[in-house]
Amino acid sequence: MRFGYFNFAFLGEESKWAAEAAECAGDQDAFWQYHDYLFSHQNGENGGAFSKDNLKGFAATLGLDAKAFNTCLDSGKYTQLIQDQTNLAPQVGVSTTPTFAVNGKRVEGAQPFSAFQQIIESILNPVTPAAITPTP
Amino acid sequence: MMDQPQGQKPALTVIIQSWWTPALAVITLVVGLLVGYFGYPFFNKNGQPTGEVAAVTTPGATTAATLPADVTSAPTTTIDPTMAAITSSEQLMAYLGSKTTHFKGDPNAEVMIIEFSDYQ
Repeated sequence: MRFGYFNFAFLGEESKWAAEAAECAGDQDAFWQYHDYLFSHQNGENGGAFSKDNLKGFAATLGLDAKAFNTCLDSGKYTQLIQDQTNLAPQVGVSTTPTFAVNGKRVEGAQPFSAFQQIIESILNPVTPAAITPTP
Repeated sequence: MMDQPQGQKPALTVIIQSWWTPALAVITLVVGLLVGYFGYPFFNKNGQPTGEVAAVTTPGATTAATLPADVTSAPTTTIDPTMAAITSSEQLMAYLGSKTTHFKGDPNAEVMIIEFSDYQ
């Protein structure tokens, strides 16, 4: 299975900064590490939890090259990328987070494993309609 | 001329004392509709509400890939031209994959999941 993360940073400035910061961490091959750190350090919306100073602090905590990370974040290197992804998401019907596209099937909200399992199994083992046979 | 049958009354009787009464109702309706129509941009300056659900801002725009009951296209202010040409879920997933910057797992896997999310 292949899993991708697509930014739909629509909740405000700190959403965008956090998304850009994760991309900057990706420059140092630490995207998923930073991604996980952000989700485990959520604390309200646009209240300072993901201020640029805090985001730089997260990078330092994770042992990233602070100078390179800070330059990346301050330069707005990934501002356009995050904006483009955020603009694209509603065009495929995404209006809430999290939303998952599983081979084109939409799964909305924090669903249990079983919800994904059912879809994945239906993709891997499609039901073949029974053949019609003449009755005697 | 037909006479009203004795003992049978109409279910509803509206007594209009002046022709101004219906005229005023019509004028109020028209003014209300005009204010609603032309005033909408001023009432909804940001285009999107805050909270967990983003608004679709341009009703009636051309749809791109149409995947009913799946990941579907939805109208927005700027339609991606490539999106507009997509007609199947396979094409759509391939396009989303090309726009996604970080993956885990087997690049050739039969199943691909893309999560749309916000860190907040």
